[in-house]
Amino acid sequence: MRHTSALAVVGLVSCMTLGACSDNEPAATPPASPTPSTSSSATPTPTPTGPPQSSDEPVHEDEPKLPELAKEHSQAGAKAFIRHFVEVLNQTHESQSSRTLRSLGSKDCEVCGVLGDFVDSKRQAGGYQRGGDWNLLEVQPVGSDGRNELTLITEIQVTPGVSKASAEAPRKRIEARKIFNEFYVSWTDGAWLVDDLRPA
Amino acid sequence: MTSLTDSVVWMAMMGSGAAVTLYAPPGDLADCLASAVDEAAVIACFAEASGSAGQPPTNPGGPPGSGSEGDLTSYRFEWLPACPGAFPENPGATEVTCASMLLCPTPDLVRQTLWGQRLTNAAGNNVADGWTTFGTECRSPVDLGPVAQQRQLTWTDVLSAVRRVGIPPEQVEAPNYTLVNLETTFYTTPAPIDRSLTIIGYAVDVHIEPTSYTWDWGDGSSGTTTTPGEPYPNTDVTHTYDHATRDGPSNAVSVDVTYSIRYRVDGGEWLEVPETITIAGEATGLPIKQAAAVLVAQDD
Repeated sequence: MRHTSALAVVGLVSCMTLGACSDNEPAATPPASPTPSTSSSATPTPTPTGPPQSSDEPVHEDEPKLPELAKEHSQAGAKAFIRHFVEVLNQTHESQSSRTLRSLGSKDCEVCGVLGDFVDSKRQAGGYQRGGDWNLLEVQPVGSDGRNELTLITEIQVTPGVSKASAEAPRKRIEARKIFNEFYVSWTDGAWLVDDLRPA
Repeated sequence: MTSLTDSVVWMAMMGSGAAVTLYAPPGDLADCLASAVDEAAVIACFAEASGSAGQPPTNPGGPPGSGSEGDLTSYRFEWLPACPGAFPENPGATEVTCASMLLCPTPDLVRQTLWGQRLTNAAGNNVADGWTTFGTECRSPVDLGPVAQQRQLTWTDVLSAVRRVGIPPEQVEAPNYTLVNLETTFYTTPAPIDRSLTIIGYAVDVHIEPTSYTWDWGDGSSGTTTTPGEPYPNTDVTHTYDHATRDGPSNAVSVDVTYSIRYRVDGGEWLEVPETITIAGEATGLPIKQAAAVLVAQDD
């Protein structure tokens, strides 16, 4: 059972390693960059650009780079990692590549695979997504079940957009809305990874 | 968080009880994904298909077990502010505040984490699990704290627990051998059993008392008594054999003991379980010999 440990361990570790019991959390959390510069406009694009020319997964060199802070084993590092995850997710709308997104999930992250398949199947079928980006308004840790695992709540504004599942599918409107998600992340082999992602 | 595939059963606070199957049956992920318009919808599909795994129970009450009869897995639960510094059993844990607990759709709600601790396994034995989080939910602040009592213990829970724990079988106390046509004394030595069990979160004292004995004499006959018998020369329980076993296997004698059960919850009034438990006994070998007539000279 993940995220399970003795109560004493939970409390001690959270205080000692993640700064959960003090106000000393590193203040170096970078400001959110809710819409990466490389992502498409939030405004629905009336005319689809069509599928990539190749069925191979496209490679984009301008993908968001993992911030240095997101490499830190701290609450601030975990929060920066979540912000990076959101940037990468938004980037998939343009790149239609799930490669980087998948790399941010652990082997246990089933929903990460489902998200990757969602991106890939759309590309392979000639679909697309314009807008529907995640604007990360807030990310806060809610607890830790151990030194290497952390749960964070996110408040996200989804921008309006349009989506087509395939070349033949009807274009659907993505409604602007606010969502809350729980991110379960773990510190594995010197990096944060997403273990799970759920509506909250 | 709990495992996606765990068939988790929601049970009691210590001394109180709540039981409900945590996860709904899996939905059809493919159908849901086919209509998903964006990533948020995909995540929602996955959560629904995995049975709302990770989400707190919306109905912490209901029947015990995970659908299997006699499952005595039990938990206790506590809703606490969804804050890094709020842990179960800590004084003032419900008073902890933080930024994350304010991440809710409306300002009148507070994000809370459901903590659970497994108390007993499926067999009803106490376990020493740590506290586990079961996800967060935006709820009214007045709902913070231990999950209230939802379910009463019943005698069937006690009976199931006693069956799980088990009662040792009795053996017949018999002589090394006996003779045809000789009234032979038998007895057994059952004793009342007193146990303290944790059953779906309740502290239960159980008193198990032998009430009747069904004897299998091994020669095709049987009998029932309300006493366990006593050693010879007492003749409370006797049997007379008609045939010897000298040229065959030893006679297999056994006694099945029926027990009545009383129980009390948290030191309260003693209650009767209306059904009894009968425990099959272990066989004891008993050779039956034929007494031979011998002429003896008598000196006058």
